[in-house]
Amino acid sequence: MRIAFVDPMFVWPPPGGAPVDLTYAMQGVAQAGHDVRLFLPDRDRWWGERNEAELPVPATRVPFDAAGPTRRTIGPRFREAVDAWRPDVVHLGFSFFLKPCLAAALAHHPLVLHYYAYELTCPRDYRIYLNGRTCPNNYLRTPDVCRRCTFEALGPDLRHGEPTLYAAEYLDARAYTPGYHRAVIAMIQAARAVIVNSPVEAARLAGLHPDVRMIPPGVDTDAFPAAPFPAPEAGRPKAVLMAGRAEDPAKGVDVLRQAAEALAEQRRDFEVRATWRHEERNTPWFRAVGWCTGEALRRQYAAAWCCVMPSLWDEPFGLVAAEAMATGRPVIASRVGGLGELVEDGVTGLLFERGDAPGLRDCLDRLLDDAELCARMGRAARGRIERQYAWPRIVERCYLPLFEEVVR
Amino acid sequence: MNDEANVGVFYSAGRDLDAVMRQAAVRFPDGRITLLLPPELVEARRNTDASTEIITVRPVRSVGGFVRLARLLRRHRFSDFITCYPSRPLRLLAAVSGARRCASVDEQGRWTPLSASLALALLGVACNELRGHAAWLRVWAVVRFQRVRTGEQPPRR
Repeated sequence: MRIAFVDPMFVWPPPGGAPVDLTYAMQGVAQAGHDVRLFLPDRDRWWGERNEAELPVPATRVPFDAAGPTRRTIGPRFREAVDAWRPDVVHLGFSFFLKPCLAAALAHHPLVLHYYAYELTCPRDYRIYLNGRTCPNNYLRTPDVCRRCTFEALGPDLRHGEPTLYAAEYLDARAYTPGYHRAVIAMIQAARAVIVNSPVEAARLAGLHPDVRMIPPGVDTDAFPAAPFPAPEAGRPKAVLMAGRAEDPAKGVDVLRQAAEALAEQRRDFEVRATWRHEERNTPWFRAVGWCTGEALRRQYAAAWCCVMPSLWDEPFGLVAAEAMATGRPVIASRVGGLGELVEDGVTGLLFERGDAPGLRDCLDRLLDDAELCARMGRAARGRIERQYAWPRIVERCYLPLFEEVVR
Repeated sequence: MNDEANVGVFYSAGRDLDAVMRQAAVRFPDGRITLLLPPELVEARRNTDASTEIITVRPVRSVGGFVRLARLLRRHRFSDFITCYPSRPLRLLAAVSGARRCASVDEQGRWTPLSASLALALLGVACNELRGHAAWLRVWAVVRFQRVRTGEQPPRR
């Protein structure tokens, strides 16, 4: 089978999120014996120091002028490149506002639409998190409310004539018009299947497509091998790690700080480490370790007793939690979005309610008191990741059957 | 290229400054290169080989701040002034820098000459503002007056 992966936002090497997900999915499908090709815009600035020869699959760079893809050019150019390759199925990945234009141009192929985070249901941003709470609106169902909200957010950016890439695409794609909403609905309905990462996302698309598949992102279990549990040492604090974009208020670092502050009144044998840069906010029990990736991140996971994800927004999946689990660490997470699915309460970690700092304090207290419980939960977490979320399992269980069904 | 070049490179948090500095060093192998950085980036750039000097600049938040920055740039009498983006504010900054030649350069070495004329830079800013306000007004009118017909629109905020 020939599978074209079309992704206008692909970045190589992938820094995180959708490009990482796509890279592993493409690699896995190619390793299963299928003919796979990536189609992406020919834009040098999206290529880092590494050469595209290192990409796990062959790529076609679709030419665009300096302005990059626009509403008028993105469809015809990608269509020409993809049609020339004659794929059996097209997988359409992450994009901003030009996605419906692209989908319309490729709809004559069996199309699988991959929907990342809340990209279709919140044009303001991808988190549906507004004023400290999860937004109840959904662009697909309450378009006028969402159009006004998006305009409020992007308007100041437009006014100075030099909008960000996101705002410029909003303008170019005419995403503020009623016609754009029709184009988004048409895109969803033109797809043979829609991929989402979690049940929360699937619920937001309910009734709009008969075949919405829940495919979680996988974890590279080789990149995050199980690490031995750190031996308790007298006088050395037990590390609690908050990894990922800790700067983002939606990730709930303030909840963790409140919980840790309360816990520090009872005990002083722990230290929270967060992958953020605000060293000025360090305390004896809370330390910024800076942004970590690769080996540095693996060391942080390995040194931790447990990891915490106190997210306030509905995490589509919770990749950081999955990586910590792959390393063999229990995860304390808020019961939001995909985290509620990923972490089995009392088995692979502990769950607490969104924003509940006392609840988080109690969870921390329980795990920090019991090294044996941490180690046991860590082993269970690793097992769960190997069984359900390792990339080969995800490709075998989800992607391959999906592509075969779509082509039939 | 130019033995007596006194080159000022104005920082960008978003662009890979190492690559831009390499481009500047290639272009001006015997020139004196000064890197203008905000305080938070200075420490990380201490060992940048290409720069002969690092100057700390405060982020501009007001007209007064812009005037102070312009004065600082003019005191250094740059012959060439390089920015990382050809944005309107940076074009304006280049125009007031007093440099004879101004350009923006990206990581791939693409040089975009910028006008050293203050009048042209101001005109550009004014045109941009006008275009931006026109776009804003157009979007506001569409969002305000054209409704999507879906049949289900709970009035939630």
